[in-house]
Amino acid sequence: MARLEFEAIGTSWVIRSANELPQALRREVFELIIEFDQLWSRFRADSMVSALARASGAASASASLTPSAAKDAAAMLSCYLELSKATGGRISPLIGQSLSALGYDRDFAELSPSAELNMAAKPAITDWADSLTLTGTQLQQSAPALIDIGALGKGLLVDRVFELLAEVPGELLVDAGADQRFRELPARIALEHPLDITKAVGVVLSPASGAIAASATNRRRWGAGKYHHIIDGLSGAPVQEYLASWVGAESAMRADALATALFFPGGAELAEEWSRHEQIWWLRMTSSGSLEWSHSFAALTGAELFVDGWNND
Amino acid sequence: MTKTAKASSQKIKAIAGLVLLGGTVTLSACSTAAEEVPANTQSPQSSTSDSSNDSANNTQTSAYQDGSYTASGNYRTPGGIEQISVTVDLSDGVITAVSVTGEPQAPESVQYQGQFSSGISDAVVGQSIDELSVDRVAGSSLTSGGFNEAITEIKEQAQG
Repeated sequence: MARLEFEAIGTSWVIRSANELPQALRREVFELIIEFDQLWSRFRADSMVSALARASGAASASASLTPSAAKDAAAMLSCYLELSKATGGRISPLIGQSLSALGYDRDFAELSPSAELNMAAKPAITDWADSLTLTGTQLQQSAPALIDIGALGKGLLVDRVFELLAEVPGELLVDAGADQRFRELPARIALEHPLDITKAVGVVLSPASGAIAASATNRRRWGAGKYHHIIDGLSGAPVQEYLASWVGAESAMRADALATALFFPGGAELAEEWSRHEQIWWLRMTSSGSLEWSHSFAALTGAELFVDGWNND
Repeated sequence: MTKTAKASSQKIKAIAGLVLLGGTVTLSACSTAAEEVPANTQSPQSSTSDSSNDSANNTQTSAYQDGSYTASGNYRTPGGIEQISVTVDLSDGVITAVSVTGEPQAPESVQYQGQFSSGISDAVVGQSIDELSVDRVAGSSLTSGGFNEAITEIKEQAQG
């Protein structure tokens, strides 16, 4: 198997394929990632979302997208609509300014995470569907706000990279750590413990094709541990009830989206609804360290949980 | 723009010296654990590195020799590259304790590493080292690569 490792947009990526990817295809992968970042990163002053934020202060603003970028926007916005409805508005794409208000206003690599902070939480625009619309290839933003697609953006990007490699024969894994998409690659996968990353809370025997997302509040913490990046749009403050979630789904975007939703009331219900039409399993850890998991997880062959009462035989 | 970033490099220090009937002892030259123990976390358990203290009556039933092993690796945090040191105690092929310590190289990372080394240690205790063999990890930390590679080195070292 061939293995391509690289760093991009603050993440370590690994692409595993049966054979080495041709040079031209590798370049397309990198360009795809860079272009995506150039549109959607709120840390880039020259990005589309930053431009929309600046322009929407005074008046309604709009951006022209390429057909493929419009397709991404449509997929993300419709998924966000489902997430918002399910969580009573707690998840919103117009949440960038809430993250900035807590101090996460630049690339995480440039923050000083141990610096103590005392920030005032700023609620997001939770009723955002009127203020952020896509018409054809025009993305319109009519309220002053900053888009942040962190709830599912990385998952979508992993799907797009995966789709770019559709013609590559054999097994394939696009692994951005917390978001993974794969085919023809059944695997034993450790579910990383959020409080001690040398440990696993369990192991899942993943099917050959699909996606997995893992989300945890330890991933981005700043203000000497006081703040993390999974915030409740209604209050603008970091969630406290859950520490981590893990989801198996058919696409990386939906796995990522559900992994986020599970931190909020309504998340488990949304998972239940989705599992009527696709293969989904999930787990999450409460702030007291106890695990909750879906019936579908319990039914998985080869799933193990390192907790009392779980039969690992 | 194409960067093959290997997240870790390793160096191994065997803290335990073992004597097997008819076997050989491997001791590392720079044997003091003090080099790697930072101020803010627990120090690794170690058995003595002086071979004369180890009983020659040790018989091994598993492929992995009992003892305390340390491997270190580098990993990437938001604050930069940090060093992590994993110490594993093996008894009869079973991990009886795991300790993870780090050497902060940037002041911002001290808090971050503190969260890793404390924490629930029961999850792994009692698992045979072979059960940590998974194809990959689903997790949002940036350090998994360093740990897994350290464990691979420990396995190789422990197989003597």
